[in-house]
Amino acid sequence: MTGKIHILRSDLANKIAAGEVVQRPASAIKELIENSLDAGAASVFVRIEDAGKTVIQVVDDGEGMSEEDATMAFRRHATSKISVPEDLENIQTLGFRGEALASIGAVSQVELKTRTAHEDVGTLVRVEGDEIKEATRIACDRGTSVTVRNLFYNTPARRNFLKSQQTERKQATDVVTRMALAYPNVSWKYESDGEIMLNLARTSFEGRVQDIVGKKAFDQLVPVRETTEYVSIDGFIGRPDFARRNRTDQFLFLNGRFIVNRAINHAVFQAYEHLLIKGSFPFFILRLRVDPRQIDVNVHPSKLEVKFENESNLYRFVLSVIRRTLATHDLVPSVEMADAESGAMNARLRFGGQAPDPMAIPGQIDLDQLFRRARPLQEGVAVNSFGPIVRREPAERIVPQEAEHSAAQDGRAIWQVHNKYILSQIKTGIMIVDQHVAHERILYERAIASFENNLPASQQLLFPQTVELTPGDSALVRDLLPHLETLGFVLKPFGRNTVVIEGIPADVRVGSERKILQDLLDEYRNNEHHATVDARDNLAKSFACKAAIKAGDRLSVQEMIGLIDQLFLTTMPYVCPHGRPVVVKISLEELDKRFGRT
Amino acid sequence: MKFTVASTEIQRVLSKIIGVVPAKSTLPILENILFELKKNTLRLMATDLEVSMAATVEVKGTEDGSITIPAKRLMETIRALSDVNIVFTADLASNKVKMMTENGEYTLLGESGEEFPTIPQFKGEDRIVLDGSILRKIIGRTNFSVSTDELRPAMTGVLFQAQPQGLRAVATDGHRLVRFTVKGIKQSQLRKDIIIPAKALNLALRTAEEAESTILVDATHVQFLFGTTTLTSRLIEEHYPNYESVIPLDNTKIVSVNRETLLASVRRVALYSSTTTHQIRFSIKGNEMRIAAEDLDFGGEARENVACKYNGEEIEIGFNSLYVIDMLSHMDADEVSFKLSTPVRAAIMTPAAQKENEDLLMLVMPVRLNV
Repeated sequence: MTGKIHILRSDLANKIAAGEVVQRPASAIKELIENSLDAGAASVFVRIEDAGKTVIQVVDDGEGMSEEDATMAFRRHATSKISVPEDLENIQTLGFRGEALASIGAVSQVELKTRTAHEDVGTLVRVEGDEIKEATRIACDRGTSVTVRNLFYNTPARRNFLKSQQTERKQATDVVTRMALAYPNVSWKYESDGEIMLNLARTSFEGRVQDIVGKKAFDQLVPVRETTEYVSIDGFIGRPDFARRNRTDQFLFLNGRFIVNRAINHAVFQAYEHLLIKGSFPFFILRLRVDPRQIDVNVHPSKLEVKFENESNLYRFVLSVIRRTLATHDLVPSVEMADAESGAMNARLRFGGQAPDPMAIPGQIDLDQLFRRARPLQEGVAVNSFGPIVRREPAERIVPQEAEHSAAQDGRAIWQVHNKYILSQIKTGIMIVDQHVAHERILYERAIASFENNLPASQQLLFPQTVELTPGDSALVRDLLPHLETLGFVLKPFGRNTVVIEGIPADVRVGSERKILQDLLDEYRNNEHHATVDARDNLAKSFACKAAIKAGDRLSVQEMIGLIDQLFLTTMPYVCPHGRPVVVKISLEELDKRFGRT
Repeated sequence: MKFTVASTEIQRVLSKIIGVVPAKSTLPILENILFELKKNTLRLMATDLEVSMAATVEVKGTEDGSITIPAKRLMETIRALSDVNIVFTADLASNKVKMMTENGEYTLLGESGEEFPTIPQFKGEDRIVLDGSILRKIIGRTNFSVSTDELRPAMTGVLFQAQPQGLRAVATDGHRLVRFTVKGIKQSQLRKDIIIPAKALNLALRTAEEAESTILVDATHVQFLFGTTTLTSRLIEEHYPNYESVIPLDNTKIVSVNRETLLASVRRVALYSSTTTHQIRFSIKGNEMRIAAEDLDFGGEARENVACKYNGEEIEIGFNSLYVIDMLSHMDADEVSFKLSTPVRAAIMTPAAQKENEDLLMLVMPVRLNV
């Protein structure tokens, strides 16, 4: 009696293995393109039909293969890319496992045409379900052309699991797009059901990014560049208001390979911190270069995941580079009026200013010229675990601009509009500040700073205020008591659910003590539901939001000047802790254009 | 309605009551002034529904009637006229008001006098009679420290109380408090505590003349009678906080210092305090008081020394400089005494020597300093 256990037939084994490598048309496309690129192609043509379910064709002008290699290529674990174990430690090519073609061949009908430069006649190999059906000489162009037909024709289960036409087509397009971004020096052509989707000439990285994202969007990007011995990074990140509702516009390339890495994505996200509105994700295209010996791509056949030898260092590196890049760019949104033809006044927010050299300091910001302030940019500040808080240097007070304008009350052109916004003239046009969020930003940073010092100033109350709390709020107050005290509250728990307010932060508006505490707790709870935030940060945000002057509060000229002075002392005056813009500029050119003065 | 009046006369009366007219109102007729003519007596009235003022003036009347006239334009016109006689003619059917001078004619569109809100008939139950100068002093000493917080309406007015020691007025905004008691009021019959809104008191301060003034009080309103002008205000019907309980009795550290020297010094040093907290610091040791401020945002700091009389142990205490300046400038003593206990408990300020028939106490809560 024979044993129950036997070695699987090779075609069956291949079918099983194929499941890992080829999950959908897009993965087959990825494998084929990687082969083309490893073969040194200068141009790649990709054609799909029926979202790749019926036909996938990848044509390159790479080095091609000899007849012998061409048939060999379909064998499992056949590769030209590595040969000795040491090579695995130092992988320079995209592929190396020797599985792709074998796997694709196991689940489809493949036709491969190839010719090397020094041969006159090429080779045609036809494979169907892991069997070589035909291998003949044929006339063809230099390079390799692989046509995959009827993917998963012999694995109906897998075929049934394919998603809708649109989803699969999008996946395929994403693959080609990523490859095109990673290899700007290759020209790309991509056709889906006879329609040309991409047609990209070889260009620089910048050029390619611009081709992919479009000219308009490209203006919203900020370049990133940094090199160290261990790692180098370059690419583009989106200005905060260019953020998306999902993570699709995030491209991370490691040594030319598109990868997904939660840690690095998180580092970028973290760097944006309060610049983003809740629930949105930054746009980025980043290329990392790391010595291949420091990484391990051999985690999964699809090679989307990579293990780093020192992931936490890389995390900090990315975090600080992105933070610094953001800090050095003019993030003031300026208003660009609608195009003439649309006629409507639906002014669109846009982060203005050109993208200057990433290493430049923010000297070019007009606002800085008006609000002359010293804002030293400290190296390494960004690595502070508690947000982009820079120890503030004393700055100069605003010097009123010389009287080219017929100014308001005391020589500064500044007005309050609808008790809500502050309007001010600046050198290049006008600036509008939202008074509530501006104050919020100031209080937020002050709160953060006061957590670090001990015991800030606290205005003692003549009539201590008794506040009745719900048991939940009461417990929360007890938990947060030390933090609340460092904010300037003096609270005495009194009985079970009662707390007596004896002192309040010195800059809280008089008379709203009880309300502020209650609102602060509500806001704190609210924030708690979103994301995992640091308790102190949450408290600072809640406090800032609730203690800040509100839209509708009337401000004197002195108060407005004070507010703006202090706003520009903060580390990030353009965005409030919740990510809303604080300052909007309208340039003179824009106004001129509106009034037909061009 | 028709009458003749000298422009200076009507301007004098108008300027008394114009302060009541609200700049913007949901009820547009409140931006008008009511003119009522009976024989030779013209009565002008303005109201914002909380506070109303009326004044009478003798004119040469021809035809009785009543109409309301837009206050702002009327006042500006009359102010711009030189000393001339004006003939007012109101057509009560079209509500057109014509003002004629020797060589000018101005027409305004008014509204019918009947639409003007009626002021409740006032029957004073309690009565206080005092000199205008004393009333002005009471208001001047207290009104600056009322609260503007509408969440605590009781504190938006000044409390008046009859006390065995005399008539007492108290104002507080929760951070500072003033208690002022005056003896020797001519007639002081006040059977309950009343809270008079700050706006009414400001108007009273402007209107009160040296001559005798009478204050009438009923259940819901107060009325000031100043000669031919009356000011009526609704009372704030709230419980005033128990202010007595927060005035400490055991403040034993007593410092006395020249008021004007200190005020000038605090004003200068306060220029260097933070624009949001206005915090200044008093360090008192021996016969020297050191006042210091620093502005962390802009990196300024200032220090001054003021001579004082003190023999307690060294103390350091912080204040909001605005409060200190307010209080010192609303006193008229040469020497002021500070009574302190600890840096987080109420500080008391009084004139070193109380004036005859007066008792003034000011209290300010300190700012806990960051150590």
